[in-house]
Amino acid sequence: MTVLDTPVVRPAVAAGAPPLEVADVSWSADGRLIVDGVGLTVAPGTMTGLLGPNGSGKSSLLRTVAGTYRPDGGRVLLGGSDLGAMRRRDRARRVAVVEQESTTDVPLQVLDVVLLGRTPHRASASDEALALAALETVGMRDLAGRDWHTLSGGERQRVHLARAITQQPELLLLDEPTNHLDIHYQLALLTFVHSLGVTTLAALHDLNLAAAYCDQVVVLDGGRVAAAGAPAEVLVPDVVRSVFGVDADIHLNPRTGRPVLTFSPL
Amino acid sequence: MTTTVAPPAAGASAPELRRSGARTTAWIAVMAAVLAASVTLAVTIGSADLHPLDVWRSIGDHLGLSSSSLSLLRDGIVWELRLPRVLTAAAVGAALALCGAVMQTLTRNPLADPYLLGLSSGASVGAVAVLILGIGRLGLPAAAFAGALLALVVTFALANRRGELAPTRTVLAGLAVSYLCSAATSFIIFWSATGDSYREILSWLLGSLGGASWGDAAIVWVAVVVVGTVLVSRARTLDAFAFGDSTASTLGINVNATRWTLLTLVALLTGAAVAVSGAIGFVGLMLPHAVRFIVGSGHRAVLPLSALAGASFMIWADTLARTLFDPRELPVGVVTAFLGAPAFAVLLRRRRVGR
Repeated sequence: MTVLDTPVVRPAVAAGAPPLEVADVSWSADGRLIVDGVGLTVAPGTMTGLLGPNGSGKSSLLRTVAGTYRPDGGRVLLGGSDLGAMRRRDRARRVAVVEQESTTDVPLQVLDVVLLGRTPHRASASDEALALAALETVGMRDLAGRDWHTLSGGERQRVHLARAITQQPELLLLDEPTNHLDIHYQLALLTFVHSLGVTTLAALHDLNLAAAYCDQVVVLDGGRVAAAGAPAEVLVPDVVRSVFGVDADIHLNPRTGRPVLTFSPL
Repeated sequence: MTTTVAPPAAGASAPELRRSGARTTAWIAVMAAVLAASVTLAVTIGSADLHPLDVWRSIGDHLGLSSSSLSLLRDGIVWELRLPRVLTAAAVGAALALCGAVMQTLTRNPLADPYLLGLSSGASVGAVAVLILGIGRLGLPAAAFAGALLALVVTFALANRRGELAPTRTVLAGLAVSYLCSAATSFIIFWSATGDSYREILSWLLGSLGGASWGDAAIVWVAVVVVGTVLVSRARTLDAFAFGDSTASTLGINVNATRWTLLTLVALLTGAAVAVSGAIGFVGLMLPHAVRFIVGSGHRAVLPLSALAGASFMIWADTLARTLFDPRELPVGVVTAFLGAPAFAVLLRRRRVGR
């Protein structure tokens, strides 16, 4: 169980950041419905956590929003424009994705990886400065020349985040970005993301992390939305019991006033 | 109006990272010089006593740039005998190295080489059939080429699943096609080869540049220049494959269309190389890795440098092949395998250490 005591500072919402609207989206694989009519809205510049047990459709929903999967029904709108109808490259200029534990066999320096974020954009002389600034943002400017393969898991995730920042997206999609990170890096990563002020949708496993960092949480169960709203409203014993099958006690973090959950078997 | 993430401006002077542009250009200049020197020297090596300047005199004469007093005999050795062979070797080496670099990226398999998708064995079936039927050398490139393309189409058809070309499936399909074609080749030889045609087939199967003509050189050079230009123009796209298909897709790459297009181009290029030289192994596997160890894995650097290094390497491998046991000629595939296998072993050990 993690007990969070990092103060969470809400950033000033970036003026004019577009909202994300997922409307009645469905996606199935091999005839099995994985995402079943999901609707959600992420307010401009805020962070929404996508929660749910294994196999509840979190990753599939993220991939459908990212355009990796083509939805069988429904639409995904960013700032009013249909992401699904967009050319792949245009979409990549507006939406950046950080997947869990994505790695490579190729010998790459950290800066090479971050520069991949410029792929959808026209090559420009300022690309390297952008990439270095993004590394600065995630606190890895000094490691720009390091070999990717010498980095720890936490450093790799931060490099991926820097890559996503370099993509200059309006929407950031994160698929369990804190998986396998130690507690320090888990908090550091989500603090970075939160401080960016970019509209963010993140699949998270850890309910306490979601409670501490997200402005809104959406709980998926069997591909459908089981509950959605502010963490304090959604992460209540009833929801946790019916979706995750465990009993939960809710406390308040004395530093942040955010909910902290402790669990017991039913 | 849209708002994007604007990272704070950092003190962006980074001397240790100013590597990409200038360093790549320097390496390309060096490797181009090495290639020019290799062509010149390789032409002079052999039974007749030629001076490097004779090579350029002959070239100048034939291009109408000069008129020297080079004897007809020497000019003939340079222009008719050695130069086409050396230039064919260079183009074949460049083609194989380019194909290897692209295949390794697109299949995400560091052990991929240009022959992976059944290309060389498909080409072999075509070539051997032609050699047996005795249609002659003119039909050989076309048949090898057709065989390679047919093998590729079958491989794609086997690997294709709902319009997707998954790397592992593609490699396995290529393997199946390879074995089938090898069996077909052996069967044709078993059924009908005798004496001379048998020796010719064997030399072709092991890879040989003996008897390379200006026509051969032209086929491969055109293929290398055209396909190479397209591949280099897609360097950024290829870079985006480093973290796999789904990351490439979120970076705006149409993964399947790119893979179909570029693999077809690679097949064309491999077909051209195999048609004139037979199956020469290890060049396409080794050289891209060697280049990556030196300049990293950005394709803007890796592709041109692999091509240049492959060209020089093949020239010297072929020079060894034709001089080592003079007057008998060693198949150049044997030379590249002798040089390549140890290098491959080193590569494998390094990878194990790296894990």
